Amino acid sequence: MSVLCCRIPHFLTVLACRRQPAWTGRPLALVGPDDRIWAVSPAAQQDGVQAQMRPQQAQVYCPDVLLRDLDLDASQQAQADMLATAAQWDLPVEPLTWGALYVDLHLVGKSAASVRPLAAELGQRLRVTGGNALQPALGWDSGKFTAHAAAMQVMPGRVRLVDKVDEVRFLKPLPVTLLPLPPLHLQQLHWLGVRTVGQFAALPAAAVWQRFGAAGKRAHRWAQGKDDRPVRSAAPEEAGVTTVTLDPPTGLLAPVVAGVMASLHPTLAQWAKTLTGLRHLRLTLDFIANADQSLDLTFVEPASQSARVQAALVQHLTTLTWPGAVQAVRWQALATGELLAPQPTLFDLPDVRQDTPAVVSASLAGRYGDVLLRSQVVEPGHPIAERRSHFHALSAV
Amino acid sequence: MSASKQRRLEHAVASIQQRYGAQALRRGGDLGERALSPIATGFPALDAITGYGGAPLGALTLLSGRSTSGKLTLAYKLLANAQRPNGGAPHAVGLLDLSRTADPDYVHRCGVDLAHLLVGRPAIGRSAVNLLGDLVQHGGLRALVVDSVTDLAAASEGRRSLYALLPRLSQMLRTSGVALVALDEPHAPWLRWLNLDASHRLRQAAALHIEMQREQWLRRGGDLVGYRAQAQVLKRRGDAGVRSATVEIVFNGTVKARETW
Repeated sequence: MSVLCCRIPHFLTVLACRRQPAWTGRPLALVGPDDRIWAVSPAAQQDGVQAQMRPQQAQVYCPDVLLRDLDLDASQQAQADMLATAAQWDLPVEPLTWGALYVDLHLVGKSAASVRPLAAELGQRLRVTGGNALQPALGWDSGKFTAHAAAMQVMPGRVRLVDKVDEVRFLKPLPVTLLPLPPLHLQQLHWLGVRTVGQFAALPAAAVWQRFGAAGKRAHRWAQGKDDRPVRSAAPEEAGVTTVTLDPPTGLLAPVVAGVMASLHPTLAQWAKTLTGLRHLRLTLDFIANADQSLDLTFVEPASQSARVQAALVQHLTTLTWPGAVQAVRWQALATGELLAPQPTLFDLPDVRQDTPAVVSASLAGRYGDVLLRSQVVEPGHPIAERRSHFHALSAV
Repeated sequence: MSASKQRRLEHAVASIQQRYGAQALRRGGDLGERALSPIATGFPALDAITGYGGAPLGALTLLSGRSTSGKLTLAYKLLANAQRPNGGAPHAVGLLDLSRTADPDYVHRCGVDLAHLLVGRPAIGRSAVNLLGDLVQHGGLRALVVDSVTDLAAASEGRRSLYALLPRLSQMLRTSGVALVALDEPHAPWLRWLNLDASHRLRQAAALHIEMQREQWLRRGGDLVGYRAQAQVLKRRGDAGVRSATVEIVFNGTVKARETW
């Protein structure tokens, strides 16, 4: 395998600043169609603003942040131009995320010496297409994960080539947050004192599998430089249509969402095991008035968490006009993609989580049991304190 | 600094930020004040003299005072204000009820949304200290009240665990952004010399120390309706002077503040 990763940092914000030069250098956050922040400029990122935040949250961290709507069409066009430029060699090209892609070079170069001129040429072509503002950072290795890590370690306009023999030494000091594991797993690694990819790679494989499941096992192999995933070309994937029948037909949002999520959840769980997520979902609502309505859900980054998909689903369905009760829903996953690490850093970022008490309790229940409770007022003002209220274990609520 | 040195420095900073994240290395001038707002106590007069505008996030606040001095009500008001939604769902808050005296009815009347309140009732001792450390490190809660330090450090093993946790606690709080509020009894200074003051190290670690003292009962038509208390800020950001404000606590859960400083 010989994989070249090409990555343009802050692709969306650079594009926006190119259209509006007055935004350059200012803290900028681009808001997507789901009313979440999709892209953050370096100045805003330094103040703690992160992708997936709500605009109000971003303003708490950075009161001066410029909140602007993302021009989705223009961004998709720029992304398509980038893919077309990389595809001019007739080699397999796989889009990774906005402004990032893999190119499979195993047919034309397998050593650092043979890849270096090819990487330089690709960089030049992309600079010609996108302009000097869109400088790519390039990384090369025998596997996708290490190639991506290499591209994240170099400045734009540079290339980092990692030989097979240097792979483990290169990965060893990198932050463990580079692995696209779920936040809970990363937190557990933090508690265990595992901070670098090298420390994670040194853990016993059986222990990693037992604690973190199939996703952890796969990430563990990547951390050891064993990544044999092929580069898949950008051709659209064939995906089956799943039909969810609602009996009786309903005009309420909750049963429709519950039905779709119940059908979608096993697929998401299966993808999560392979560190893959949903990128594009098409939903068709079949109303009893013989009217169909389709809607497309595009995620800024592949999503494998049910809660995130459900939130997007609710957001879109509430904006839709329903002509009547829904009798069936058809969904089709049009595109999937590999999960991305949120921020490769050894330093903790401001926390943007808003966990519910149940989530906090569930994460600590294994260690402490049912010592975390929820209280409930039963008879307000009753003279006996025990009659006024109850405490329940959260698992019992 | 010469132009070439400046360029090399900028390149080094950019490389480190590229490798370890945007927050790994920053210029001192870019740091400024942390944008996170503090949690209001519910008493504007008290907020004004804390030096933070309330209880600081990511730091320890110590509330001390005898029974019926109003420290528990103040802590519940802090929890209620910490829950206030900021453009989204209400934040989860926690109460480590080691004294096992929490009355959900009163907590609710102080404005706390019980659906987003996590009550911890572990056994007193090392497990209580460990739970405190894990709740802080988890970061899922916005504010956590510990009732009380006396119970937390009651057993000798609990006291030892607490002393072991304290050096790491400040860093854990800064990282997670949790506002930790600990309730304590007032201690006479001479207790420390006899090694009987278990919470003196906690007072050293606290960013804000408020001591509550009841001044007088409030009566209306012969009925007892509440009490007036003096809140003294013994430790705060900025200067070392002691400042005080008077607060009025009415038993039906509503609270008022009166400016007297």
